[in-house]
Amino acid sequence: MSQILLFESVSKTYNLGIGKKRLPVLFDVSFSVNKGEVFGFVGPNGAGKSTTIKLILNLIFPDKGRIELFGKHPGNVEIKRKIGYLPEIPYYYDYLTPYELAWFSGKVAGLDDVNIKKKAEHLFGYFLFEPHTTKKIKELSKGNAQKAGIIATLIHDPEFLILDEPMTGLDPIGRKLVGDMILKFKNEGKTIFLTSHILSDVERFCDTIAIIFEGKIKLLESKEALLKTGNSLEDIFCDVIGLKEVK
Amino acid sequence: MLSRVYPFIKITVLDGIRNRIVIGVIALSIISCLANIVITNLAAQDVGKVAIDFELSTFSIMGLFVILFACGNSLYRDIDKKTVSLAISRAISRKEYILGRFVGYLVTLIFVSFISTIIGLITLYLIKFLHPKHFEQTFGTVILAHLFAFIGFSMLLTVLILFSSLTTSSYTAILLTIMIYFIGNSIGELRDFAESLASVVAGFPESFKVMLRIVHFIVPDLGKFDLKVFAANVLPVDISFIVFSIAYAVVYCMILLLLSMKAFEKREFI
Repeated sequence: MSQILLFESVSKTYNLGIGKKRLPVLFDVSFSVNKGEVFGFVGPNGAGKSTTIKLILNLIFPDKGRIELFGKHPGNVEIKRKIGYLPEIPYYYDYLTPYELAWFSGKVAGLDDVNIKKKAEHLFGYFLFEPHTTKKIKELSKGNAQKAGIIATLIHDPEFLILDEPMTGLDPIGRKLVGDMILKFKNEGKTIFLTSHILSDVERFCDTIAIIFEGKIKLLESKEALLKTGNSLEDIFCDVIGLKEVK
Repeated sequence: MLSRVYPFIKITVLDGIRNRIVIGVIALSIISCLANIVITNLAAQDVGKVAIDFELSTFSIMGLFVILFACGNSLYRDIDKKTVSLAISRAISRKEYILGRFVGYLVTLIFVSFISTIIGLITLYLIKFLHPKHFEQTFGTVILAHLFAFIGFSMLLTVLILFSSLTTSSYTAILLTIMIYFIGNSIGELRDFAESLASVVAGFPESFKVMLRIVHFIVPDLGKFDLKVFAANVLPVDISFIVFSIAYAVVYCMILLLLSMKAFEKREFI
């Protein structure tokens, strides 16, 4: 099985500015995501999930260790055409419309205008988003801005999806549509890196689950092996991070 | 490369020209022109001079507002609200991001400058029509003054982009750009004075002269691009001055963009 993402002994410390403390956030983190795998990356707030995603996207650089995307350095521009990234907080360009945002994403990924229009119409239809396509993003609700972001993430049919809390702000219909979409991608053999605080979603979608806590991978196991223990993912999560009383 | 930068330029322009600040600046430009018509009625013999001076000053302020508030606001969202990840998590390199932002803002500036210039020229024609005896100035120099002011805006824009690449807060970048704007507008005159005989009389120390030379080398000489005096007083503009100034601006912008790209390559978006 070919490897899409490799994280090998990666450590990261944030330098918070001149005269300020250095903040270590990741310690010797190693994992890999194979082609066709849905990889769930869970952990409490501040555990290092967002830092990991920023490292994958080359928004920040590791102090130590090796990161490879499709066998190349994550800063390689061409491999980014194969990636679809959905940020947790949907901050986009305020004065653009969702269609223009999707056009931008499709265009930089190398799609032509006809293809973008066709795919955008399909996605707008799927997410019941037609009434909002010509509104400015700043006029949309948080949930609809998230949907605009999801459409822009999917427009170029990426091989590797990085979904950072994809259900944030969505209503029940939106959650179902996104959930069904993830399952469809899973059946199509796409590779997905998913972070979520909704453990039932992680249990539903993922093949492999990693739990990160205080910057260290505490558990990395296939879902099958985890659930064979007879415990729910929630119980396992609480055990791993040492919250037995919550359990 | 162009296939990746072009979409980014396009969304930068669309986001820019729809920005309320840009619309506000154009509205301000119209109000200022109406004010110009009223003010020149009080100018007695110097109608042309006052009208041109007022119009070009409005144009300069308008450009400064667009750079600081529209482009600055856009960079604020990129840096502080992290919208930068929208671009660089996609197939756009960091160098292309800087180039795309610069060209996108430049096109926005061209759009606003063009509209403001047209409004300004119509106003000046109207004033000339109302006061034909006291308006001897030519419109050629006025248009050249607009073009030069625009070149000055482009230089200031590269300063803003450089500071945005270096600092972690967009407010710091905007404040530093404002500082450079004021220094840049007076550094040429200050240096000329320091080098002149009058400075000897005034007792300027040599170290101060050296410091001014260094500052003049680093900071953009924006005073060079202020042709208000030429346009208002019907003074001829030397062709070699035009060529040299444009060459200076092009080289300055290129150097600052290259420095911005270099800084941006190393920057982390925490």
